Amino acid sequence: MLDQPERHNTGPRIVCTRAGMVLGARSMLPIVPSMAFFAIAVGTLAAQRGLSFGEFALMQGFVFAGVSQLVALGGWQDTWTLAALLGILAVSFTINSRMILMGASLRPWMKDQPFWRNALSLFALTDANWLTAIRYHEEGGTDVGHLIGSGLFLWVFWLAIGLVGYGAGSLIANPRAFGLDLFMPVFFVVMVAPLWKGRRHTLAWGIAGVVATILHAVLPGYFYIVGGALAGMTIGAFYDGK
Amino acid sequence: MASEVGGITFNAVTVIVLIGIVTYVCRFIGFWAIGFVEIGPRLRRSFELLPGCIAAASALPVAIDAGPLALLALAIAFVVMRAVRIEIVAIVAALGLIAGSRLAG
Repeated sequence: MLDQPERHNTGPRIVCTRAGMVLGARSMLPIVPSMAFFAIAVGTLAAQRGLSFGEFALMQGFVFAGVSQLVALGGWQDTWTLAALLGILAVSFTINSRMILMGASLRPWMKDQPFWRNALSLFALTDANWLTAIRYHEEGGTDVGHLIGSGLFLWVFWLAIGLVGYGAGSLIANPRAFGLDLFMPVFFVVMVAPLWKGRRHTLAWGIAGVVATILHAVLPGYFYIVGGALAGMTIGAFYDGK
Repeated sequence: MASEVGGITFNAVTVIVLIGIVTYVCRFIGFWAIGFVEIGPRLRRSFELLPGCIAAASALPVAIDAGPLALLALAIAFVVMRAVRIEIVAIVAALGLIAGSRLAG
């Protein structure tokens, strides 16, 4: 991968086209069934926790972050004191802080695109479309539309199916029986498996997993995700072998 | 948690909007802030490692909590995806193992 900067300097121009958006949207199709399951579970939980239809639609469309929504709904209150509000905001921030790193990693690719378009396309940044866009880019793709199209597709899908889940009430009575609690871990592993290239990846990914496991054991909350990822990516970057 | 600050409470819409703002800040701020830094080869390399690092850091602690079967499912997900490169096949293989054993047991 060390030769990549040269390749990029002489490589194809970075563009943003409708064809790229369609390609991005289509790249989300394989995960549609599992994502539907996830969205329905979030909708069901929101209904159980007493959110109104409008409140849930707002959450689904404006927060648009499955794992942090699940956690927020898990601790949902009827009345929110300032302390409870600050607590949920801190939890949302630590869960989603991995997206700070994800966004940063998109900079080399997207930096010459218009500011407002970047600001808008980052609104639809999720684990799923980031992972597929990164894979697309690593395989030589340059069309920024890929990230936008996949994000837009997921946003519409997440909103629509979530609302179905809300309306359907207890469509999935026991999500755990279907392995839903392990959907995100499995999904992550599947998406990154093709990106594995050798010893440096093994080292970095291994350190990320081990450090995260230790942090998870000793610290409350969700800091372990970004903490483990930072440890792995930093040590991996300084490893000079293959 | 009891209210300490004069009994101020917030309605659900306010809470949801604030969570949404915090989440958007996470989405945008890394992209924006890294613009002030020159991205050299090491930083670029660390970005290449990032997807797997986030995956490992998210997945491993959860799987360890869930037990050996979950770890096996993750291993299956990785191996099947490397072999066939079709996401849905790998996801179904891994979650199928979990769901199958839970529904059976």
